Amino acid sequence: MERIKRFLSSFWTIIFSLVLGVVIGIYAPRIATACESFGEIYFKLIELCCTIMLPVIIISSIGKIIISKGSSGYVYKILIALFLTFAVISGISILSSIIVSPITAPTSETTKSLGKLIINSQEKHQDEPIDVLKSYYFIREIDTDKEIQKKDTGILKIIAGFFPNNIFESLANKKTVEVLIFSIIFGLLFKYIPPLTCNSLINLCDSLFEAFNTFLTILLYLLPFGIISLISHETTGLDFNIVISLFKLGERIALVFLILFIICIIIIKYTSKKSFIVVFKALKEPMILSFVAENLVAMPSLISAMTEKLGFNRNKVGSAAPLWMGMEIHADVALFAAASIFTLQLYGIPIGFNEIMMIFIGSIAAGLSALGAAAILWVALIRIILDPLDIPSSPIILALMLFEPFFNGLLYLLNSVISCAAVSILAREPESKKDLLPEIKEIATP
Amino acid sequence: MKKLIYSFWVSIIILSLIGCGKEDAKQAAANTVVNSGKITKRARAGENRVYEQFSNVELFPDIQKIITRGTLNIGIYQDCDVPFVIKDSDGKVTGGLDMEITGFLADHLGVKPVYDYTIKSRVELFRKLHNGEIDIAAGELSHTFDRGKYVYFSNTYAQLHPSLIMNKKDVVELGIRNDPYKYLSEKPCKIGVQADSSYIEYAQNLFPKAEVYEYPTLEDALDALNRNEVIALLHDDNEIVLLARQHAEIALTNTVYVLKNKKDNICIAISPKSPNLCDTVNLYLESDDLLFDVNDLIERYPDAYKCE
Repeated sequence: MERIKRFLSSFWTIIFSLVLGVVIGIYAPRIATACESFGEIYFKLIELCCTIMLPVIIISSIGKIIISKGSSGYVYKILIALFLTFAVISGISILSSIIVSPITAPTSETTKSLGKLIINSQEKHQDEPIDVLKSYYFIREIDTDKEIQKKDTGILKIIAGFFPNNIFESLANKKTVEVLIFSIIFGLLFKYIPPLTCNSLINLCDSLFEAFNTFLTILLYLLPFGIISLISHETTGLDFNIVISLFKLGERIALVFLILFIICIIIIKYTSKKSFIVVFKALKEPMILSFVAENLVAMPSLISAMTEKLGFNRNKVGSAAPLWMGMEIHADVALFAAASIFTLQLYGIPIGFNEIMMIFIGSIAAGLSALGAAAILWVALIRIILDPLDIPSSPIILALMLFEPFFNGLLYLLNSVISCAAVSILAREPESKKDLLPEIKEIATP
Repeated sequence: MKKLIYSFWVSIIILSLIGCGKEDAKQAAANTVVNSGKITKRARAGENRVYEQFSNVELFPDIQKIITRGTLNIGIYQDCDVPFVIKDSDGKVTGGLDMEITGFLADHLGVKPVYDYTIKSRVELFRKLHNGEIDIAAGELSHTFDRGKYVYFSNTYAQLHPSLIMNKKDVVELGIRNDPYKYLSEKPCKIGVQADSSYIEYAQNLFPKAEVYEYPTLEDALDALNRNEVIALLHDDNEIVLLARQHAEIALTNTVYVLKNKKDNICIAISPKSPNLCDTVNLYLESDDLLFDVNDLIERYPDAYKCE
């Protein structure tokens, strides 16, 4: 049984499922159609788990930190530092994605291929005879006799739209950012709830998370089959050349990752006051572990490298590193920002201040939402950025899903380097707050 | 005895003649259909038959002329697009909505359809129609005010809508993403249309301040749009959907605006030399309740709309 579980959850099985899904979609569309219902049920169940798990994990984590005695100041500091990390990552990714765009700009072939993908996917998702004029994203019907109200797309208006007025409505309509904001506010309000009630609420959240996490773990063993049905359906009627022409997106993401990696290494070098060679040697093991396994596996190695080889304060590293490494979403923010800029250029939409701000905020929101998303499904969260910009996200999601297994190792590696860089700045804090740290370490370690 | 044998043979001949008559009557009954409570006889192509009960009545001269000739001369614009006229890879006409309608129409009249596919422009098509060289013309012909001044038009059998293609970049930069019509109709601008099409007239009427640029084909007009020679391209929604499927990049780089309250009525054009033919055509279109829109056309001719 264990061997079957290992086989089903191995990296190579996922890769094989992806390739098989593409092959079935292109060469055996009938099988793809037959598999469609299984995929639909499977991903609906995963979505169900994530919808519950996302708010409860945030409420529980923030609540636990808030109710710890004397830790609230440090909590706010860590929260601010976390947010700043997100903001810096998002900003650098947007900037570097724009800088590298001349060499990774979408070609006319890419544009045509994605155009085909859009037309095919929009038709494929129609079960009944389609109303072409209504179903195509790029076709709009207008009545020349009626005055059309200009949609206010100001950044403040868009930000205001992220705030929920009814959490049940937000949950029902899958408005992830609204759920996220509610969860953070609710978590912070634990400070004003009696401790007994707080503990009960946290226990409830933890129990719910555990229960759904167990169900999700079981579901994830079936992921290879889910991937086959999803990818085969998405690629039905797809020309294989389309997939190849999307490699420009892969180049863009890889270059943005490289820029972020270099910046992080420079930060670590500067904060540790060690040479590049020493920094590389110290981080070699955690980077390899992150690349081949995942961040949580690499965490002890990273803490030991930062404290023993680079000379950072053990208590500070021990309290902050698990939070950064445990979140595993910083690289996701970078990926969302880079992919969104690429998408805008692909659609020929001029990148103005509003667009940049939307991507900046949206990529952070999408990254935070990825906390509760399972497996490769998290790439679909790019919708959070593209939907308010009125851009169809399905072709980019499909492309990202195809690339995700190849980027997975790089994402983990980048997460560990970003965590190391952020923690290296925090670990330079004065020793005066040292007393707080053991308690926080206990809370923050996953 | 001879009389008996003679009578026997006479009765045999009479009975056989009666039997033959019954066979003819059976055949006639087979060709008879009940229509609006009156028994009428539907003619077959080439038989030149008219309603039985009016067989002795003098027909309208233009109808009589067609029936006497035995052919309905139909002009089809050479470059008419799918699904109105469908051609194979060698350019041979294999079907299409207009071929079906005109074919059935000739069948109703009891004459053979004779098609002229050599007409290179709509101007030539309407000239031939006006001169009476052809009886009717088809091939996605729009009923416009100008054309209606010199030829007859049937009722509408396909209703399309004028549609604009614009560069996404332009509409975002000009801030007219939601309503480009107001801008185009109020500001001086350049609009591209296909030469020799009804859209020259539509563009002049819809956008009085615009300069209308004519291009030989829609592809040429699309190139001009991409080169920023014109700000918008105007044509019907059917052609725009076809164009998007042939140039998939439109889905990414352009936005299509369908002016849903403006109509482009596709009709059969009828020669002024055959004024009474118009009623016959209308009767046929109405009796079969023919009125297609883009979705009906896609559903009826899915192969014509395949994405290239």
